Amino acid sequence: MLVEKVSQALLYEGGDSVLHRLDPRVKLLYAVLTALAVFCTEKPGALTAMLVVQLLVAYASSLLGRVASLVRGLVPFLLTIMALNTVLIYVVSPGIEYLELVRVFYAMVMRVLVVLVVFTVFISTTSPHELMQGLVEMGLSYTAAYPLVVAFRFIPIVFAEVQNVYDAQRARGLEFERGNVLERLRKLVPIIVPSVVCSLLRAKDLAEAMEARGFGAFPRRTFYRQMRIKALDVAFLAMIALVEVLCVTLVIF
Amino acid sequence: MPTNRIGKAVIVLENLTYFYPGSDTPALENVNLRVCEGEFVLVAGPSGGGKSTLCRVLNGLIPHFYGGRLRGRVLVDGINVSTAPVRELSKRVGMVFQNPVNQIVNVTVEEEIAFGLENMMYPPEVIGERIEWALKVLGIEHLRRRPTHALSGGELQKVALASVLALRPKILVLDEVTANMDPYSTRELLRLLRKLKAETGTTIVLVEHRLSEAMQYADRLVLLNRTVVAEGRPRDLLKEDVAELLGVEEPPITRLFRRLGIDSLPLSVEEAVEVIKECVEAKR
Amino acid sequence: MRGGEEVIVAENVWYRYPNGYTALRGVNLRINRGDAVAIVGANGSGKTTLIKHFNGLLKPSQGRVLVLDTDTRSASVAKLARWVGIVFQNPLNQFFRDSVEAEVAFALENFTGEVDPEKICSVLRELGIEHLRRKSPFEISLGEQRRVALASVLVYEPEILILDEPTAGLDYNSKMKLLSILKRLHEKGRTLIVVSHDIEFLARMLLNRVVVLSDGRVVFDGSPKEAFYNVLLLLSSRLVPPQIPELVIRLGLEHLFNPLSEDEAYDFLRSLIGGSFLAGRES
Repeated sequence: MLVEKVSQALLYEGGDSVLHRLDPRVKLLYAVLTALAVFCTEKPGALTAMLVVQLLVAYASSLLGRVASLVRGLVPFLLTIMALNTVLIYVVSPGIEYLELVRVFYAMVMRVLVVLVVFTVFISTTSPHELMQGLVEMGLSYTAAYPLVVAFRFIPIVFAEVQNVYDAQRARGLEFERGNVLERLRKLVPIIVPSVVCSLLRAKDLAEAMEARGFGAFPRRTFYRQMRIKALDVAFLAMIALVEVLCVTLVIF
Repeated sequence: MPTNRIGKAVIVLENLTYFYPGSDTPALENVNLRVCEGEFVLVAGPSGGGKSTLCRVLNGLIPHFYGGRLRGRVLVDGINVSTAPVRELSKRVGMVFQNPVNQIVNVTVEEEIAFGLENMMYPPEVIGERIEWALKVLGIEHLRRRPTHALSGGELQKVALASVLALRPKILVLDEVTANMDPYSTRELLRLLRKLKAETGTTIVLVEHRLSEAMQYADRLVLLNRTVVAEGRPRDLLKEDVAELLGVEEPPITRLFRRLGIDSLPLSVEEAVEVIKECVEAKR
Repeated sequence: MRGGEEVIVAENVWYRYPNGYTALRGVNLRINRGDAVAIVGANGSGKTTLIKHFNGLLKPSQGRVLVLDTDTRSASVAKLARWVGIVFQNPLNQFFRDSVEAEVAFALENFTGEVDPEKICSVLRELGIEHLRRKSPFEISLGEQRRVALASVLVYEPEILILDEPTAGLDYNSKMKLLSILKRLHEKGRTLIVVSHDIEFLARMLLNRVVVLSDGRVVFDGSPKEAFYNVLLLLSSRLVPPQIPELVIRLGLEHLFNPLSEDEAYDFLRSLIGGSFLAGRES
């Protein structure tokens, strides 16, 4: 299922690669700068070089498999969007040359792929807690950033719960395979209502437990594990920035 | 009977009456209770009798989180619950809730135990020490780096308790924490609470339905059904048939011995063995 | 009461979850009509996975499950659930209508296509919740919710009734009510399977069989007395013996007599301590 593939790609996995050891702020900067860089050029060569660079970073973090899996899962969706885009361009500028159209399409594909890879690498090598801490160190209030951690923590729980609801209703004779479209839509109600009710109750329980341990008591918080920009972070950022600038400027075609 | 260093009153409830928002019937009515430092109090009663409400009054969630109307005097460690902010109470009262899954906020165990300390702005070195201590006390050092979604109900409750204990509260309130735990984990947890009380003098308020196991650990039993119906030493209270009276479970062994007409009622199987030995000796 | 006819047969059942975890490893089990069976075991031993095979929610990776002589792999969940009613632990995982009455009618609608209000009323009365008929299932207590969930299964009269942790979170009164309901159902000939680790409740239940699962295998299948007096077996499933067997074991007398109920224990202890000692204390 698409949802499963995508959510698997989003799952943080512990590891010891260079990327895992980097400060999340540095990684975020890398991701954002790369995304910007890739929109600064239209040259197919430059864009291909950029993609190769990101794939190498993914390889260094042992994430190529995951990237491939994500791309495979999203291919139909992406192709549709890009085909529509291309058609739109053709409609807007009907006199456009075939070669030019191909170049535009290629640029679109490359940009999306670069962003996807960089995003996957970032999410997979940065735990939600690290990400939250990184954002807070950069100035976001911790009460605004913490929902990231909570949402991630409950992903497997919520999935399991919806499955339980589904099982319970099937055990009461609810059949999804039968009925026309309208009937099947109505059959979603016995799945949605209990899932929402349980989520609301969960939210209340969680809020109590957080409040009881001082969440929101003070405007700031301390962190047990300290974050420091190390030599590795500076070196990585410098190197990757250099390589990407070279890609964008030097590659001629 | 273990010796307790029982001190002054850390919980004082005088004529406590509470209405949930929009409700005309009080959830608690004229509750009077004093709990002394170092005591282990067991609160029992039928569903809907206000046990959970009482727990939340003790740490300020009522009235600050829930709203509603609170009347009467509530002092916890000398602090007036109605007027003090929740964070003052969070320092002194640690609470563990019934649903093990819904009270765990973080992805890993270590992060969860650090959570309260970080909220309260403790410096990192102190946080580190408290994490180590809490893991040791609960016997869960091996779980330190584990993701929380992979833990069993019993392990989760231990993590929740560790997270709360890391703040070194004076008073520990546990709201039906064994409801979803297997019997062995329940026994482990109760023994742990007794050890904790003995070593640190923490006051413990335990709310339970499953009294068969819990009864033997309590200094005092409070029967709550909107108001305090009865309270005293478990052994004294159980001389009457409270199960029928109040819909409260009692240890089968106690029930059995009361039926046999034996004076000294055992609260646990160990005590029952002693009583029988005495009876057999006396027979000779 | 034992009909002798096998209503559920599990033959060498293996089950592997999509994520690779093997929950059942060669389970062999036969449930007879009229049995009252407890399935016990630690969390992760495979109890819930096993019962989900009995109404076809899960199909075995290997081996087979026969329910009333039908192979579950060739029948739909709806068909099997008609005969095997499972009451899951959390009633809030299934409530979605705004009255108890409508909630109870749901399964009946699905299985029979029509709703007989008389049937609904009678089931509600039997469980002592008729007064809650018009109330929202979200506004009643947990004990009442569990009874509504039970009613919504009983109303379509399945042959086999399975309950998953029916006493978790219940107060004493609700447990006693449930106990008497289950006793009545069993007396009327219903086949009962209860998954629980509430050992005192099980000790009072008048079961005729206890099945212990450990790591996906059946490690014990026998009488309640044998099970509850086997401390090693219980501890390995993270259970503890009920207090009465524990007392007898600690007295070192389990080879002489195995009382389980309070009455049996009373008789046993009276003979042990001697009537003369108690003469002055009896009322």
